[in-house]
Amino acid sequence: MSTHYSKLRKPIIEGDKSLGQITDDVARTIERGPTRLWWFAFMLSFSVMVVGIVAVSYQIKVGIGTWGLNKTVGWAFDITNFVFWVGIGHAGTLISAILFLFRQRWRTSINRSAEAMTVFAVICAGIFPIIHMGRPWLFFWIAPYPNFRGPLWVNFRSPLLWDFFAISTYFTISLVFWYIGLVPDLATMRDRAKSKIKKAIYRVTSLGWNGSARTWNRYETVYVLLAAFATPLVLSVHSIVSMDFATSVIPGWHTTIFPPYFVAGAIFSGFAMVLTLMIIARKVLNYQEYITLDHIEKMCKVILATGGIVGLAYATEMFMAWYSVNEFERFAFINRALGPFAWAYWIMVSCNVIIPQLLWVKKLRRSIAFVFLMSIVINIGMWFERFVIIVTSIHRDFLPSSWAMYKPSLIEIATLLGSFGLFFSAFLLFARFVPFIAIGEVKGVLGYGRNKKANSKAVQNSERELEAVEV
Amino acid sequence: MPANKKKTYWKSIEEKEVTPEFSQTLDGEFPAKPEELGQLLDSGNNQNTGVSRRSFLRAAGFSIAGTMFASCVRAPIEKSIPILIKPEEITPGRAYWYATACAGCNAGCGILTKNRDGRPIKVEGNPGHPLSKGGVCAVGQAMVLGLYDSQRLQQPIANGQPADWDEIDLAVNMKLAGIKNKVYVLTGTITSPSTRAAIQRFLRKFRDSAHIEYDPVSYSAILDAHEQNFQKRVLPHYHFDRAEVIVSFDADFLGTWLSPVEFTKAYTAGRSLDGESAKMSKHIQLEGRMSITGANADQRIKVTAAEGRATLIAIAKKLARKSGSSFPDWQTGTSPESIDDRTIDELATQLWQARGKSLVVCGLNETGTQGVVNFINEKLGNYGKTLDIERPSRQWSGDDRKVQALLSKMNAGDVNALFVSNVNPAYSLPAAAQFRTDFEKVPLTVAFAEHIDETSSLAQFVLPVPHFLESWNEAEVVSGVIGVSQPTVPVFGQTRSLRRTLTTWLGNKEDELGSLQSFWRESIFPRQKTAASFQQFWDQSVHDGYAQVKPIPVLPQSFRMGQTEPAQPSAGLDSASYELVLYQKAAMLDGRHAHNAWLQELSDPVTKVVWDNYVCLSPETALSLGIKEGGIVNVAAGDVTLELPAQIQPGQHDRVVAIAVGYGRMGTERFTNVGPDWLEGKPTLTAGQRVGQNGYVLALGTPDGFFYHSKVKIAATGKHSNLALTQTHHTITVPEELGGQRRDIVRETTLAAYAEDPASGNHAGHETLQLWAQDHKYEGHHWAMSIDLSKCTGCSACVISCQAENNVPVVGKDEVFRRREMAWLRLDRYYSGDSDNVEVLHQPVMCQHCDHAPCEGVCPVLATVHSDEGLNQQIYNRCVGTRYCANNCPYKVRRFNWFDYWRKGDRENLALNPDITTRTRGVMEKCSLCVQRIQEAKAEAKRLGNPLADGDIKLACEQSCPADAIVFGDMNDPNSRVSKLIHDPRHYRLLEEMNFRPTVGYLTKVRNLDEDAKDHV
Repeated sequence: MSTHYSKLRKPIIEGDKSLGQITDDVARTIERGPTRLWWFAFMLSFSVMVVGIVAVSYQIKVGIGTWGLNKTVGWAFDITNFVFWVGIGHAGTLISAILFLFRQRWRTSINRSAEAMTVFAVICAGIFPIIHMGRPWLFFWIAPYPNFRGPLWVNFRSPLLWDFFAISTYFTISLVFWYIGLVPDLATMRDRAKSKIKKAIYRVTSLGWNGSARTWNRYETVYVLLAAFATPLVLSVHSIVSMDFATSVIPGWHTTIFPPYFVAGAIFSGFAMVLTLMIIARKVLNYQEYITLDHIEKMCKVILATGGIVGLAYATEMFMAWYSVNEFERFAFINRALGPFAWAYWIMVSCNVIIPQLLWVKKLRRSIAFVFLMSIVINIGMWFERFVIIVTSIHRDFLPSSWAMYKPSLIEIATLLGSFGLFFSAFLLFARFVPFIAIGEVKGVLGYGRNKKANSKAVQNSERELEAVEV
Repeated sequence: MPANKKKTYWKSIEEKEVTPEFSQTLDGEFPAKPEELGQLLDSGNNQNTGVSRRSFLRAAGFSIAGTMFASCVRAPIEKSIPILIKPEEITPGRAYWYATACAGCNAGCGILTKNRDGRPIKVEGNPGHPLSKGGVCAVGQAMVLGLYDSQRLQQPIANGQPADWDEIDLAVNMKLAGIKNKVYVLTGTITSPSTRAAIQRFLRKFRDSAHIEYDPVSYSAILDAHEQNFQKRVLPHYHFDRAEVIVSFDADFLGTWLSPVEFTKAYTAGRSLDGESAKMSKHIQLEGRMSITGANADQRIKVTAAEGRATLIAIAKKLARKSGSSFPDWQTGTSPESIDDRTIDELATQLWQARGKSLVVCGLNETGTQGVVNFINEKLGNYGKTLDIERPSRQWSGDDRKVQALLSKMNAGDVNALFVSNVNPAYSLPAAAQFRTDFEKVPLTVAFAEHIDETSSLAQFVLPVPHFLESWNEAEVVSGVIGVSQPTVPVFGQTRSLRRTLTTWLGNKEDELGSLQSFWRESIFPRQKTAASFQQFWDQSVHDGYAQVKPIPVLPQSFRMGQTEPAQPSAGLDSASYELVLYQKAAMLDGRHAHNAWLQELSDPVTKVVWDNYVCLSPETALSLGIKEGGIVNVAAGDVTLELPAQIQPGQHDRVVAIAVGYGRMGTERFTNVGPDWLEGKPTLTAGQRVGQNGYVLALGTPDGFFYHSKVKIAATGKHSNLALTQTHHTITVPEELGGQRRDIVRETTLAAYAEDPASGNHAGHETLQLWAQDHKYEGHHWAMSIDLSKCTGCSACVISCQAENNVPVVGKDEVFRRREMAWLRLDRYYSGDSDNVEVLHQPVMCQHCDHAPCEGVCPVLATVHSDEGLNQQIYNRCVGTRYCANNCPYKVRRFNWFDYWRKGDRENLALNPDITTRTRGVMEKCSLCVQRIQEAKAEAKRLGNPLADGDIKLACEQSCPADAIVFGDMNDPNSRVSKLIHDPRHYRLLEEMNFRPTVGYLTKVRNLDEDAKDHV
């Protein structure tokens, strides 16, 4: 327990918790079994996911023509959703890796769930590049491996191939990172489990954790190493995703600003999604003392910063279009702002740049209802950002004869909904079966910012607990 | 064990010994070649070679797995018939060609059919043909699909029951035995002299009988006017190449009028900038609607028919004054509002200055006006020079007055037997309803038809006739030029030509070939001098696809002004009424090919609409009536009304509405389910609906002839119907509210500016740099293409040619509406100029085969790669369908298979080119520059041991282009035509400033205008 006492530092975990209370608080949500609310939420998400599965099955059976695409607009909802979900997946690793390396202790309350969110978001994202193919059953052809097709190598110049590597690497590292972080908590669950089956499952998954100092030592070494591995990935994944567009020749896509712009946007949207989930979770799971208003405010500040970068990127794009004296480039941006998809552009600007400026007001940053609304607005805005970049650029490119409009089909809308269904189903299962908060890590920051009074209260709490156990 | 010796561990003896074979096997994880694998297995002393346990197991495992896999698949039983006795001329896999004469319309162009494995798969122009000279239009190209039409009649029908020919012959002869007189044979124009003779012979038995020719879109007035003026009912043979000034009033001679391929060839020949000095005819078009011809005119004057007629009369009067002759004081009924006196003066002066080198043509089927045209051509001394009536055209000889007389006879019950062949009056007559009633009153009705159509469905006997690609025939299209048709495939079903059926009824048992040959021996062979024996003459004619013989002389009398005043069917337009123009679309013509899916889906050269006809309205008219594109318009002429969607047509006269004929045909219900069937997909037609609606009902049938101009009232209905367009943004400029800049896509200039500076209009001055100029050297060939925009008329023959050559599927109306048409080659059409003077630009765009191809770098699976001859190649097998290439294509020429567009088991699939795979769903495709033709020509050159010569390779689009606008060749050969064109000052590349380095280039469009090209520089 920390020995620092500072009036300036506020405790990260409120409620003068004792160590045992933390374990109880976190484990209880799993051990008490599913609530009615959980069942309702899960059945809803699952149904939406089934709608998506039906839509995708239909599309794979009948053809990509069941989407609203045409000869001019070859990507729309598919790649929009892909980039959107990859972006969502950025917050988790940023929180767990970069904030870890920067010793941002407040991350401990949210890192577990944010990492889980990352894993699920990347799964959602990964589906789209596969199903958007005309022949999705041959998707493995983009993997370079010795094969009997010639052997035919892949095209290392293609950004889609880089994407394949970037996303799969990112997914692997995120999953491993998340799982390694889980091991001590799974051991806790194993020790508390009463039924034999549960115990057996937790025993296997906790990889023989015994809580010894050596185990902890190995664990922390691996953890910091993985954090170091994951850190460059946070920046590289979305940079590479942005190259899907930046390396093309299409005005509106062919932009060198894309990598930093996309990374900032990804963190922006990722934090917004973390906020959406955390604000619900802390209420439903009664984790207000773990995920405090301070956490929310800190995340709002990250959003404000990255949102500023995104706004700057929008302005830079416009400026460069004018400054380039390239008629196609200029038109692409005029068309974005004033053309037939202007509504989408202005949704994007309002949601991502204008409305988030309200977060400068401290009172609003600490208003749960406002921040929740804001996080939704930003998610909508960021989805539209990708839609605007993709669709408005290609729907009117060089030759006016080929200009076309785009309208999503029902199948595409159902697929987008289905991806949300998958995401929330997975997240609900996670909340149900896996410790939502990193017990081990939170315990490490428990004493942070506590004064003597609080500490003694915590000691009392723990003594009372011990008595209760003895009785 | 000695202490200094290091202890070793090894897995096998080979490893311990480190034999060279062993290290080799270590290097090769996967034996790359079968022979290597074989070597590994075969080598005798496997003790010391690399046949390790691993490689043996690998080979064994592979064989077992392979055998198991192969035996798991139930192989379909394929019934194949080996050619035990191989026909001499057929080698499987090699194409052979038949010369024949096209019967897609009456123009009778010379064509070659490319046959593979015993069936024709492609129609191409016959370069030796004296009239069409290697050109062939979209309709001609599409005839190969018509041949395999599964709904063509296969068996005769007697009173609704299938019958065989013996029964038919017996039944008809028994009926005819009781008929002594009033037998009529109603046909379309018969260009075959033998058929004409057979009809005459057949009718000789009956008194008061006649052979009547009827053209649904009639040119009767031209013949009638010549009968009045020269006492000979002939259709002149026009020579557009000899004219320096061409004034065309409503004649769409580059699209549909008389013989468009021949005229396009001649027209572009008279406007070629290839020679030493720029020489270009001046073409002035007066018209109310926007035709292909108007789109290509140097000067286009918007007129209603009434105004145009008045203009012609005014010109005639001026020319009468100049030539010192007299012109009747005919009242024009209307003053030419759209044209001031100065313009008329200019027209008259230009014509007068080009006496003997000018040509005035008129598309109105109206004898009085055609008389005025004849007067003008006569006074200009054009007869015998730019138009020929001594060796006239026989392409169209319908006689409206005789048709009308027949109709009244039928109405009066004065017809005992009616034989209808190759026309469909129950559909195409303005009074079709009356015809249907009267037809059923005729005691004996016989229809010779390819399909069950409006007329044949009413006839007592329906006798199937063969498609021209499966029958012997001939066509004397111009006096002295006789095209010969030969069967290119055994006939489908039991069909019999009109000639053979009639001769059979006369007791002659000769077969198709025999009856044709005996006619030729008697009537054609004596007209020639070159061949000594008939067999020699016949063989040569069949081989060439035509014969040139002595024309049957026509001796016209000297010109005498006719007494028929121009009729005024649409005179007196008030503010509520509009002039209706019924016209033919280049693809659909008069409706005879409504069964052809390629033609239904061919994007109209001007409107870009497919699968429909519609009411063309000028933008101002549409605005004033509150009609938007696709809004259903009610068109009423008296009690006849039509409801059709509106198409807003820039450049159209505000008082004119235009509707295409040829739609609403019976049998087009077959297209209901064309296109993919899916959740949001709409069928091409709703159940029972036909493609478009019949515009003929609005034509006027007067005793003097059929008028395709009339007066109508139009009103918006408030309903809407989606028109499927292949292009929805129509100008070369970006929208006004988004900047309004003109994009440098089509470069144009005027002849005056071109004479001063051949590079005028082409001074973009982009200097593009290459980072790795030596990266691709293209040491062998480097294929390139050049398209002359001055020559291209937009006729779209190349589009169908490409479709036939490359197995491009038909996708249906809904897919086109969703902008998913598959055409590899498209014709972009842009409008420019102000609303009073709309200019049209056509630009064929296919894959530009960029040397810096944006598509190639982005494909993750290497499905699109560059060949060492500069071709951008698409490998369907490798494609997984990410569509990134199409997104990244600046020209948007890539086409994606959104669904499985192919239908299995259709007879129509016989038209597929076996050299080209059909693409399954989920793969990208695009123009390959007919790589199969390149490879074939290279293989042939190698076989013959000759180097490949320029022009040996003709791409499908290039081959059929009637305007010779497309040139393909090797730009590494400095003497090739394409190399020379690349160095032409007019040459530019599309979006060259972006440095994609396309190998397809364009030549600027030059219009014969005096004004400076300041705007265009």
